[in-house]
Amino acid sequence: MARNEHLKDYTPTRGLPSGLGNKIIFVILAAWGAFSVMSLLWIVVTSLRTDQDLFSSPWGLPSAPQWVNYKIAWTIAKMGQYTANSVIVTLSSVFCMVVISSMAAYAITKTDFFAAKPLFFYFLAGMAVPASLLLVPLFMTLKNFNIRDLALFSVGDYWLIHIKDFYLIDSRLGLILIYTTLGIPFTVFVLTGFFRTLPTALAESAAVDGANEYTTFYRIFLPLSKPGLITVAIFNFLYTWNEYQFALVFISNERLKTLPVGLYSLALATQHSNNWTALFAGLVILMLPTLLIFIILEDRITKGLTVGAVKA
Amino acid sequence: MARRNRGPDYSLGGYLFLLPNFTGFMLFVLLPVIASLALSFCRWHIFNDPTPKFVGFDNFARLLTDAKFWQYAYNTTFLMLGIPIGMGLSLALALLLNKGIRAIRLFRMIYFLPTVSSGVALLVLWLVIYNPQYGLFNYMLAKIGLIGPSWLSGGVEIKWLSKLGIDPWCYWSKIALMIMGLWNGAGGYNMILYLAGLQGINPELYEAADVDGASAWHKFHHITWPMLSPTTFFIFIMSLIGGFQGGFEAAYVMTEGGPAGSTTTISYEIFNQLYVRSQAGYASSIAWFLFGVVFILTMASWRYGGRVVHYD
Repeated sequence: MARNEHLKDYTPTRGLPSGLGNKIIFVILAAWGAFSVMSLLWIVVTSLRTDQDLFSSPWGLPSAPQWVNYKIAWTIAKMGQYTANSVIVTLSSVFCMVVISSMAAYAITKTDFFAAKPLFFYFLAGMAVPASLLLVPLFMTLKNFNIRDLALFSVGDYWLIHIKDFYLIDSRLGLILIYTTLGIPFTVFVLTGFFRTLPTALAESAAVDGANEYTTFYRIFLPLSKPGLITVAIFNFLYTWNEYQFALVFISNERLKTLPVGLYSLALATQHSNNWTALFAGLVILMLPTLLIFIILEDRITKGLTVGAVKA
Repeated sequence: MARRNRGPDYSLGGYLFLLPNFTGFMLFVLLPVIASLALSFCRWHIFNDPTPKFVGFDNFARLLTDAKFWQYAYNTTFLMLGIPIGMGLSLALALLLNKGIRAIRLFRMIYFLPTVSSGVALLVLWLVIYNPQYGLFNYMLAKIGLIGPSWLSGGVEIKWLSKLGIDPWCYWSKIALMIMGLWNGAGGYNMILYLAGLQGINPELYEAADVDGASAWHKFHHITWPMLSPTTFFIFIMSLIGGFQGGFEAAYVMTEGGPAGSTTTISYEIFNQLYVRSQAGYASSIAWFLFGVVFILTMASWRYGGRVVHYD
């Protein structure tokens, strides 16, 4: 904005009573922020206290950190098992989503594939399908899909591939498949936008040099689109880690539950055991990964949020 | 040139790159949606009926004449009253943040913390906050001399309502869920979008207004608000879509839809019909009814909302 150079030191008031001092504004903002931070800190502090202390003074600080709360949450309340499940499901889903979607985004934007445009709208339509509409049919699909005993390429008692007791309901694989598919429309949408900004001439010159489509994709476009891939991976991670409804409906086996569902089991159990501080330790275990990722990558996340939201 | 100048042409490559995407989407989104539409015209108790039985429009007739369903629809709409209040709060926070506060990034990050936190974790936290005996909410009310009610299960009986033939019990639960939603959401996506919108307004507009001696209110009314109208419109539409489908997690984790069904939203009812009552057909018809309502309202908003939106 070179033509505004002479206005460099001039800050116009932007439609708010200019009589309000910046200090008052600062106090209001700080109060709202403090409430936010305090309640999160309160969870962490309480997770290190004893139940007796908590009931005598809800706002107090721990006399000595009670790490035993975490031990109880991790082992007795099985938060360790739930964490393992959540890590497996979330990382696999995000990995599959990004790999599959980046391939699709590449095919849509950088090749002459004849159905590129209709396919783009096919994925766009996927974003409009509400989760509540999918709940019933997906439950039925997963429930009815099972292979109890299947031997492929078998001759007599010998077989090449043998599948036994393969289910998609009550299975981490089933959940991964669902999350991957549901994450695809959004991921394709963001990545096509990103791929469009990359010069197509690169693909042409690679073709001249004799590179085939796969080499062009893996060696040229995938490395170039790293910032975009990381952004969608973060968003999908946050969504998948916190997802509740599908994880609740599709998994009922205690050993396979994800963290959010497991935490609710812990909250229910707390009403009988009255071990409230262990529940708070469980809350920390559930919230810590996403909060850490957000604090480290805040800038990328808030920038990614506004991309294509209003103008799209 | 006969060929579009877009890169190497391997149609097979296009197919292969899109195949995993296309199949997954077909299996877990497209076919289930079609199946769910078919199911909504069937009666199917998952465990008692061997196969779905076609019943025509019976499910929809049952739904439209069910007083309980209309109560849940009312609950859903009532909770959506929080949308304009929340948008106002988000806008206020964004306006304050945009006043040239130094630590804008820190504030933006703090306000966003609840949004990246697990929904279930926050719900469990608020379950503790709303606890009538030792919860923080009533603890703070007690400090200023008020005796807080039991927010999630209590209510007051307003006698004269029964003379009008209306249930005289008014519960606190919906108000409690709304307060929670406002705190969780006000500093989230919407505030970030408003902030981006504010920063996109050309400062010359305010300079010109200053020259003309416009008051702060005039500047807000004639510059900020119209310039933000695309953002407001986008947020409103997204909140509308989300609001109609919302309320499942809060109902499941905090209130089990109670007391007396006062927090059962349509999405919680879909879950109940499927998972608790095993009525796959009826659950599908509710989901499709909901989808239809959301679709019509969204289309109407696009059609008529365009008149009040000012595009640059």
